[in-house]
Amino acid sequence: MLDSLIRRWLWTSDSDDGVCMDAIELSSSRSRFVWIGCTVLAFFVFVWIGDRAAARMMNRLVMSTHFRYAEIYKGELPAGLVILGNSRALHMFHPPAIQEVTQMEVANIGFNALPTVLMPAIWCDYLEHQPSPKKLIFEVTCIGRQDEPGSIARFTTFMPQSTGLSQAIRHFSHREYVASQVSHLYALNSELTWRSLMFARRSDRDWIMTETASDERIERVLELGTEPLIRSPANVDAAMQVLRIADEHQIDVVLVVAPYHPMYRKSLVELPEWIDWLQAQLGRPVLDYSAEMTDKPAFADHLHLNPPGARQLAEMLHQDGLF
Amino acid sequence: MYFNSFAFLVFFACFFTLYWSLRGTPRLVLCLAASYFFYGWWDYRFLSLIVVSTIVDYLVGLALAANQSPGVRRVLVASSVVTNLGILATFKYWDFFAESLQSALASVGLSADWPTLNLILPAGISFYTFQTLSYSIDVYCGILVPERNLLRFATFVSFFPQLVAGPIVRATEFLPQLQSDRTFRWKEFEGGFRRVLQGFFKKLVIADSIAMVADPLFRDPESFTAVNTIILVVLDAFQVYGDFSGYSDIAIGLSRMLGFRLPENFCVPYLATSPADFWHRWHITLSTWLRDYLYIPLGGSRRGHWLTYRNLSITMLLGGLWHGASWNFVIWGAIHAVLLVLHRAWVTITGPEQQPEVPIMILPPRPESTDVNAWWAAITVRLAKSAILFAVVCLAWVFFRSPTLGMAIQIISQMVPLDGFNLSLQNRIPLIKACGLVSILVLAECISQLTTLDRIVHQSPLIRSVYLASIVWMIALFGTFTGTPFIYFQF
Repeated sequence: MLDSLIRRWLWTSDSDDGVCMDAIELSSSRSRFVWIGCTVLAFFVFVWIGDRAAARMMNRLVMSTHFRYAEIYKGELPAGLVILGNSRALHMFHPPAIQEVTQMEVANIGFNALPTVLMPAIWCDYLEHQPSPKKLIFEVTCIGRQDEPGSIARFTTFMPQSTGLSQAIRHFSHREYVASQVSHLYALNSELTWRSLMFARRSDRDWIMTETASDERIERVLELGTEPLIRSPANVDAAMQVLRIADEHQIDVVLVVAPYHPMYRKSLVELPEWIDWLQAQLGRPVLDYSAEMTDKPAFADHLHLNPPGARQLAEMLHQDGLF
Repeated sequence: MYFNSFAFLVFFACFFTLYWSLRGTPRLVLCLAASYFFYGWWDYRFLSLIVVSTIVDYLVGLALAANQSPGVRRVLVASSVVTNLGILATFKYWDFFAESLQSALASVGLSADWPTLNLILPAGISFYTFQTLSYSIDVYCGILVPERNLLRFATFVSFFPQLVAGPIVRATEFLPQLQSDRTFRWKEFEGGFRRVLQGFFKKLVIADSIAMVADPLFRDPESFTAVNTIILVVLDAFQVYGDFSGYSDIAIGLSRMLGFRLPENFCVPYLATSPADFWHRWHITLSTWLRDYLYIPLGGSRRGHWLTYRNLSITMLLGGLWHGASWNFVIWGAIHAVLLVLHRAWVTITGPEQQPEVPIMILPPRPESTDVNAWWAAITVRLAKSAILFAVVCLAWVFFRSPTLGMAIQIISQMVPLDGFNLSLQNRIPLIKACGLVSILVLAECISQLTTLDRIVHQSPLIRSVYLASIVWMIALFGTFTGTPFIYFQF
């Protein structure tokens, strides 16, 4: 019977007249059941093995890129100054501009919609794989932001590299964690995987939005209202962890609110009160630069600077002694 | 309960096991109960509509069999038409016609206080009312012997794999399959499983990945430049195709796993070379339904050119309106009506086109030796025809997908100045992903035209396993698991 099964598996042509289980040689219902069971099981084993093998290859590919998180886990992102936050950190603190102004090595480990709750794990992983930097600039408006759906799940790409990240994803997005355990390919089904591949040959350190925001665009945004600044205990707790880890490594931390587009900033009336609340929660001062840039062409949109704007900000912070 | 939900996977696994462990009437009872459960999961109140439609058409069928008087029979079939279209009109079209009438009267300075009902549109209402309607008409015409078993009839109406978005199954095709117990056949099971996976691939990998980039166009078109708009309009055509044909594949595949055969609903529609060819390949069960129960009763093409054009136009306008209660759908139908009329007129002048020998193949058969250049020329001409038709179909989809007429016009008008391509890096990745996945789909569809892919895949269980596993891997790696509802669920 085994011989018959193998032969059938390797090369059996089903003719169009509808060869069915009832008609094939396996006569008894028991052997038919065994045949179906073996086939289904073999298929699932095959899918499982392929999933693991393909995910392993994909993972190696991702880790061979120059994407910032791949570089963190390879220990290839040492710096004297580290920037942390979401897209407002990513597109405000432009490493080439800061390096030019300060002559310091800068690593921006912020990312678009990076959830605050994942920051302790990423920050910890950074310090585990790189020597401790002198200073951490933490753009704190991410603490007041509601995480976008799926923003945590994007980081499943780097779960194999980090136990801390895995645990954080397990805690805050259990479904994604389980799905990523079931299928390792699914863990790689994220924006970060594809974005990594875009940086296969070049660094992503100079990544910044290049547009210039028009007044009409800002007005359209304002028609929808400003984004509320939430007071999330989970985010505050995560920020406290970031600070604690920095303290343990004797790293200076600067908490900062980066500039907003002047038109948008005017509408963000609850910001000063929110900053006061955050200072009380964290027990540290927060430097408020939200209204410090009045030059509209410096902005790519209501929340982010473009390269000239990022350069201006770098110079401003350097003059103020932050870098 | 959507096919692309975890709840459905659990539901189907339980149902499948129970289904094959029962026989005879208990199996049918299970089928009906599961179908009602499936539909009731969404909103149990609308089960009453299916039950009403089922009972009315069941009784009409029996009464038609018992009465030979033409007058009585006409009244009976009319009662089925009134009931089914009445349900459809009340739940789907009342508000649309009320508001349109009020607007029309307001434009001439009159006012009418016609109440709107603001009812939720029951899922799949357009599909199952058409099925029950066709049953009564078929019995009336003597094409079908009425079903005397209510359980069997109710199962036909509510069979859950195709209940919500088709394919629209005729009673003549499905009721005979309910007459006897289906036997488990491995080949059917495997073939069905393959179709289900292909359907999930089209939905989760193609349609939902495109939705991430194309749906914003239909929310805020002003944010997009001309080139971006064109790209997204083209992608949207593949989204609609992937979404709907994906649903049909899943429905057909699930049915095959249960031992039933449903009619095909798609056949590489974007490779069609003429508007008529497109409708032989797109939503085939709807177009054949409209042909058999609307176009032909109107007179079809038998009463001269002008009446043929009129019949085509009426059929396509009503076909458009069938999709949704909005002027956008009427315009979408009108565009296709114009295309069909122009094509018909062209065919009248130039003579009928040569039909391919095998309906699925759009490419001409390759010559033995000499005429290779002519063969390539024929292929080029056909591809050019397909490209032109595809462009027009894409424009028509803009009306289909836009929530308002104004937005559709805006999207089309902003495609005219061919200005810059400025998607930020943030948005570029989903766009590149969507384009890459569409090219995989296009490649697969083109390959299926050059060789019969199925034949290769069917050669060996090993190849079949690799093929199926590859689909699973692709879904895991590229799928978008946001639980986006199927577009056609709204109809």
